[in-house]
Amino acid sequence: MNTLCLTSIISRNHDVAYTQIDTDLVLLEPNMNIFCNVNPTGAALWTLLENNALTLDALCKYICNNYRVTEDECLKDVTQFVEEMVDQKLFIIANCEK
Amino acid sequence: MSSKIMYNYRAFDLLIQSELPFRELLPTSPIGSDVNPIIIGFNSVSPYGLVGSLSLNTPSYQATSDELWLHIPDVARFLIMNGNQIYIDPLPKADEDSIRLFVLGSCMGALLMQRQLLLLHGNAIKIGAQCISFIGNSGSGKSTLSGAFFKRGYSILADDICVINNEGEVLPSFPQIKLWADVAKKLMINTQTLKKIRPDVDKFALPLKQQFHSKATQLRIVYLLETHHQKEISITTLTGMEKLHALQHHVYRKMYLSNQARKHLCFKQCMQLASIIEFVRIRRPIDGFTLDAIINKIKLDLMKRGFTENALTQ
Repeated sequence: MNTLCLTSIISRNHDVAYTQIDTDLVLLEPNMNIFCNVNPTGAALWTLLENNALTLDALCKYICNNYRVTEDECLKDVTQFVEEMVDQKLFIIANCEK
Repeated sequence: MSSKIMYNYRAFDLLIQSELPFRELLPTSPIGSDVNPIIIGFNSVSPYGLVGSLSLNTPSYQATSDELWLHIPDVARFLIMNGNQIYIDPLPKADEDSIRLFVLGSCMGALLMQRQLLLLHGNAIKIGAQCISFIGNSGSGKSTLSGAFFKRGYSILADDICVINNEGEVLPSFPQIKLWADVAKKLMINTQTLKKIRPDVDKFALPLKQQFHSKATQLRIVYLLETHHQKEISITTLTGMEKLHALQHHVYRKMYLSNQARKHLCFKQCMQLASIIEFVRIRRPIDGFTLDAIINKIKLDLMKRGFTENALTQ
């Protein structure tokens, strides 16, 4: 498994079906696993990656600029979120440059 | 050259050509845009089931990706293929009413699922320019509500199988609702001139005639019918995942979803539908309630959601 670092390029797994149902972002992974994200920042990152692949650094900057959170908290939360999403095969890490 | 008479009907936005006549269905003439009709005919169907790799295998039904085999004791074996053919192999004690019942229910349901449509186990009633659907377990009151709305002059698109296309429209089924004898009595509908749906079952087929709405209509609200031990009728809006779980739970003949791909598609369709419709749970007392009370609660709810008095006055 790739280690996540600031220059890791993150993209969505485009085989995942998704829909916004009221305030819930619901994701359906090809093996029928269903995920529901009620966290607005998680939903924002999912949307941001719709047609883009972005570095972890870029994702953090986006959250820092748009939400009231410190840089440290932001890095911690976004990293954790991305790791969970990669674990569930909802995000893909394209490569990592050290 | 075949000398079989084929009867032409239209249902679920499809042209159906059948060797067996169906008084339940709307007769039609084929039109220019009709391609590839659904064919219903008599043919031998193996008593042993399907050949090939089975994704479903039980004594009463088997499936591969394109075929469903059904064995209904004392009625028939059926084979539903490729979303466009139904073979009927009647069993010795079969009566025609029962054969037609299963063709229009389970077989047609399986065929429509092979055509990748979303099917809910429920009805669809036209309100204004849109429609609403009541879903729920057996005994929850769906047919009673079909009958009640019919009696109050509303038009109906579907009674048992509610078929929804990718645009979120309900496709019109056929002009009949089925009513239990006691429900018909409660609704003051005379069953003396009605035919039973099957010889030994106290359920009657009520033709809808002018109250059948034969155009695809946008589905606006799904009402989930449940019972509870309280004395009041409660109405709750469901949102997000709750909506999705409830829809998915009430898919028609879910067990016919023969493989992972079909289950995945069905779930995706439920997700898409959940994102565009409103979803309301109605819990009624098991006993001691009036049909009028439920209908009034539903009408109030519809008005709260923007349906006008005009749409609700029939």
